Amino acid sequence: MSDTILEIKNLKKYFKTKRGMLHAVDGINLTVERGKTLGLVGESGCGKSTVGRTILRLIEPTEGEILFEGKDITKLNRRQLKLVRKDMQLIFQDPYSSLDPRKTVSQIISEPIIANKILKSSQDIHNRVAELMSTVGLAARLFNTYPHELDGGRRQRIGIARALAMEPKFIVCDEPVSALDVSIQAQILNLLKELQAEFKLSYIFITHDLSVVNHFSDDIAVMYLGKIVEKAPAEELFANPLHPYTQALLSAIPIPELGVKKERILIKGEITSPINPPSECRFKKRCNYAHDKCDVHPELVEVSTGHFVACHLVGKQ
Amino acid sequence: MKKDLVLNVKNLVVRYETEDGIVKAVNGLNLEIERGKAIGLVGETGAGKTTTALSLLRLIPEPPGVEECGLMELDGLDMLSLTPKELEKVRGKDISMIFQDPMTALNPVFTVGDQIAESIHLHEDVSYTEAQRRAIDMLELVGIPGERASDYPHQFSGGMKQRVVIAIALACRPKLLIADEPTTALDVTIQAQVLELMKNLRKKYQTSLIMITHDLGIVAEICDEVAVMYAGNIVEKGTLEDVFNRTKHPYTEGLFNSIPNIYDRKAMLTPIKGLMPDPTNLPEGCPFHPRCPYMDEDCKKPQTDRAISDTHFVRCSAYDRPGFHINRKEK
Repeated sequence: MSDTILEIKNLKKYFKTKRGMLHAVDGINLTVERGKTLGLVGESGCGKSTVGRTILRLIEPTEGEILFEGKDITKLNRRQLKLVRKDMQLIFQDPYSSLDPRKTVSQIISEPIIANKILKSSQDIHNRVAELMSTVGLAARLFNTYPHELDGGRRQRIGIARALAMEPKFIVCDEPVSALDVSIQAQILNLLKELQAEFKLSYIFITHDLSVVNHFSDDIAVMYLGKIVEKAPAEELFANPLHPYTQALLSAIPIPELGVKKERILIKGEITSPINPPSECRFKKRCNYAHDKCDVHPELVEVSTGHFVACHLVGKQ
Repeated sequence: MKKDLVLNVKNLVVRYETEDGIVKAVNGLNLEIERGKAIGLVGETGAGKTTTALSLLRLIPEPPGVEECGLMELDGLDMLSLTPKELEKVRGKDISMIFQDPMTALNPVFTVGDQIAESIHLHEDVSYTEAQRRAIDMLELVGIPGERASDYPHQFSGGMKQRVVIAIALACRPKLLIADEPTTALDVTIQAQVLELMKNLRKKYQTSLIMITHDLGIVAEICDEVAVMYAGNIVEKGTLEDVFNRTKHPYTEGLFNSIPNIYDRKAMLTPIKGLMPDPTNLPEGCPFHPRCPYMDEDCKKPQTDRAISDTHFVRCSAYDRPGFHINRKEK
C-alpha cells in the first residue's frame, strides 16, 4: 500500500484582477508519497509557486481540498493550522530577500522554535540552533553573523535550517537553487537529498530547471497555465514524454555534452494570458498539432501505470 | 600562418579601487578571437566575465575602476589609443553588446523602432527616415512584425524584448558581438527560440561572438571555442572538443561534475568544495588551489599557460608532475 502524506484534490486559486479572473491554479490533483519528492515543473507564470503557497495556506485556495496526512487543512481554523504547519515548511527561492537582514543567523533559525514555544530555556535553544547549523553545514563561527555577510549558498543553508527547526515531515522547496551558481547549487541539492534520507522528508520541489528536477524527483508533474498537462515517474517522463508541451520543454534543454544531436522542437509564441482563459486546451495556441478537438480542454487520463497526460492526441488509441 | 584576428587582447588587468580594498576583477587576461568564430566565456558569479566584456567596450567606470592593458586590438584598430569621441563611433558599430536583462536594457520612453533607428542613424550616413525603415527590417529579421516598431518596450514580453535588444546590437552589422548571458532571464522554450535566432543571424552576417554564460549547455550549442574563467583569468581554453571531451583544468572538471546529468539521474553530484575566493584577497598563485583536490605546494607559485595542443591551453602547474591527470575521463 502506498503511504500518501499529501493529497491535493481539484485545487483552484483564482485572483481577481481589473481585467477579469486570473486562473493561477485551475483544478489540479497531486499526491506526494512519504519520503519521496514530487517535482513541479513549468515556466514562469504557470502557477507553480501559487500551488506551493496554497498548499501551506499562505494563500487561501478558491476551491478544492488539501489533505495532509488525511486531514483537510483547508477546513482548519488558525489554531489548528498553526499545529499542522509545524509539519509543513517552505524553503524560498531567493536567499537574499527571505532572511530578515536585522537578525543574526542564530536569531533567524531560533525564531520558529521560540514562536512555537518548542523549547523554553535559552541554553536548550542555543544547543538546538547549534545542532541545526551543523546539520546543514554552517560553521559554528557564523552563529552571530548577519545574512548580508554571507554568500548565497550559506544563506540558502540558513533558510533550510530554519525550515528544519520544526522537524517537519513535509517541505515545499520553491526554486531553492535557481539563484545559486552551479557549484553551489550541487552542494545544496546534495544537502537536501541527505536530509531527506536522514529525516524521511517528503518534498514538493518547484523548479523551472528540468535537469535539476530530473536529478532530484521521484515523480514529476508538468504545469502549463494553471493546469497539470503531464504527470509521471521521473524516468518515464524523460524517456517517454507524451504531451507536446513536455516534448518541447525537454528538447529545449541545452545539454552540456558534444555530439548529442537531438531534434529541437521549437514551439511558437509565448505563454498566453491566464486571465479568463477560454475553454479550449490551454496549450492550443502554441501547439504544433492543434486541431478541432482541442477546443475543449482535455482531461488528465492515465495512459500507462502512473503516467497521466492531458492531451487529445494521446490516450486510448 | 597568421591568424585572422577580430580581437586580440594581451594582459588585461581591471581592478576596482574601493574603500574596502582593491577588487581584482580581471588579472592579466589574454584573449584572441578569429574572424567569424564564436567563443563561450564560462564561469561563475564573480569570475570577471562581465567586467571583461565591459572593458572590451572600454565601459569600465573610472574611478573606481582602473583598466590596464598591454594590447587591445579590434580588427587591427588600437582600442586603447581612442578618445571618448572616437570610441562612441566604434561602439554599436564595430563592437556591440547584448545585455543580460532585456527589461532594463531598453529605454521605456522611446518606441522600439526609434531605439533601433537611433543606432543606425548615429553610425551610418543615412537620413532618419531611412534609418527607421531599416529598423523595421531589423525587427522583422528577429521575428517581430514590422508594424510593432511604434510600440513601447512595456508592450513586449521578455523574449520579445530580448529580440529587440538583439536587433539593436546587430543593426550596424558589428564585427564583434558580445552577448552577456542573453537568455538567463528567459524561460527555456523562449531561450531555445532566442538561441536559434542568434545562431542563424550569426551565420548570415559572419559576426564573431563572445558568449558570456554560466551554462555549459548553451556553449555546446552555439560556440566553436570555450574559455573557462576563474577569479579574473582564463584557466582553460580550447575548442569545444578540447574542453568538453579532453578536460584538463581541475576547475573545469568541477564545473562538469556539478551539473546534473540528464541521462543518468542516479549519478551523485560532486560539487566543488568551498567558495569563490574574495576578489579583494585572492590566494597566492593559482586562485583555485584552496578548493582544488589535486593541490600541492607548487600551486602557490605564479601560474603560466601551458599548451596542450595548438588549440588547447590550461593554466595549471600540476601538469609539471609526471603522469598527472584529472579523474574525469577523456571521451
